[in-house]
Amino acid sequence: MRTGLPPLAVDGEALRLGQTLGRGGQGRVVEVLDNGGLAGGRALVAKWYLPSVALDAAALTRLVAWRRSLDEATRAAVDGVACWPHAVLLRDGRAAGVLLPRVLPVFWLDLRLPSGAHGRVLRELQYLIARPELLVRRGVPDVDAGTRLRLLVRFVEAVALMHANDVVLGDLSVKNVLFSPAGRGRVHLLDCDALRLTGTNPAVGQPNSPGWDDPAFPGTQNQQSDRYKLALTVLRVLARDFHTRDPDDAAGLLGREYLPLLRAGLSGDPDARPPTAAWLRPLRRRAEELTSSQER
Amino acid sequence: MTEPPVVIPDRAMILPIYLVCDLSSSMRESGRVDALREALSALRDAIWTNPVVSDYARIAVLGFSGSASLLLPLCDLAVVDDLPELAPDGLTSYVAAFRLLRRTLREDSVQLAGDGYRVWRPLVFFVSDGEPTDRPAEWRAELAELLDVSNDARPEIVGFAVGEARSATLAGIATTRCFVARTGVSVRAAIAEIGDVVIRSVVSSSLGGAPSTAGAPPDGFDELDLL
Repeated sequence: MRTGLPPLAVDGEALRLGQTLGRGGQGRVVEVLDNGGLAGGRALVAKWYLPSVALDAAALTRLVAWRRSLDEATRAAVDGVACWPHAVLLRDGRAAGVLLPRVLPVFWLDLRLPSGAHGRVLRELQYLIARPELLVRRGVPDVDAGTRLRLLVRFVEAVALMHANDVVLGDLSVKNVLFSPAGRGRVHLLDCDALRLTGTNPAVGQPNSPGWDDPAFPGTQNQQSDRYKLALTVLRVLARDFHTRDPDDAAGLLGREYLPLLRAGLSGDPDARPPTAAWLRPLRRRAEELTSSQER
Repeated sequence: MTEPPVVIPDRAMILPIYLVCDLSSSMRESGRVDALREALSALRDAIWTNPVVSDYARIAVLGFSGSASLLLPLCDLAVVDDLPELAPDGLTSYVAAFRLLRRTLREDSVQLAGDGYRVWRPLVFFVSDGEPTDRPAEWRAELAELLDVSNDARPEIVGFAVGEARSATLAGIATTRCFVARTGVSVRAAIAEIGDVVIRSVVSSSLGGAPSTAGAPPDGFDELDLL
């Protein structure tokens, strides 16, 4: 197992499992204490689906196989930005979950909860969009304008990497993108077991958050709707507004010069939307401008 | 001359959520009201860790026994320092609950609109552990008024029956979904499960930007078909 590639499917019985780390609408995530040398020593978690979740075992296996098929450099790049399934988990011989890499400590946030308890929560995109007063109240440090732009650059790089390799993100929400403002900034895409490869179906149903829906593709998701959602993310992170769809709200931080790009990204005509990579140069330039103006 | 009204093209949306809790004397039994208190505290923690909910949802708590009272007016629950006292006492008057709910919904919707918000239809989580002590005709008339189509602030109701509450009664009250605790499940455990459903609904509604009560029934509950 030196290559870091576990078998496509692993029997859950063979793993030593620890405590439950989280519960969601789809199932629960459990710590893997000893992964038997899988994943080249990277810490893993087991996600077990609820029996009510319609699971497409073939699609899940396809996602795992896709990662294995990548060259080493691309696979490392994908692992650097996405919580991609490493193996299908079997229970009684049937697909019942996935092995995922454990989220790194830089993407966690320590909070003191109103009940007095200590809370360790994921640094989700919602903490980047929330207005300053919502953060101050919770004791969460705010992210300055330059860092904000840099994080958007990292986000676009992650989506561009996925698109270049035929992945459709599909559902995007303020809970399934993580960020870390330290250093050059990092992002991490969660819920990758719900992504799909172009031309195939997703392994589990892709939810479509109404607040993030693409008016051009109600009910379906593809790389063109990803482009719309990417533009919506840029807008909402810069406007610090969870619900806006008005490009002008981002004018302050994005700069008038790039508003046409944002308008095109949010266009009702999918063909008018710029490809993901078209965002990189403008956002990088804007990040530099804002960082140097902060330093002055 | 009066100032022209300010036009806000895309005003923020608010989802008002009301937790309507049975506080009749039977709630004193075997930690039922403690479970309710813990569920409310867990809801506050969950909103604290999800700023998107603070931005989008407002929560109120109403309690009813022989009479009804607004224990916590509509607010961002995350910033409430002291959670309301829950003191069980007396009868189970659905009439009092529905009447206060109707008045509160109307006043809140006027207030939110006045503050410049667009308001979703209110979402009510109605929890009862016993049968109403009012005459059936009376509480049904009060419910009909609450849900009347001419009432702009009429709510969508998710019903939960625990303890001695009958499923048929709650099914007649719920408008979207209705869950009934199975026999043998402790009321305390059932109330904790209800808390989880409320948390999941509040978070997913805020994420999606529309009311959402989707998801599997809580552990130990059966879902009833609503006619």
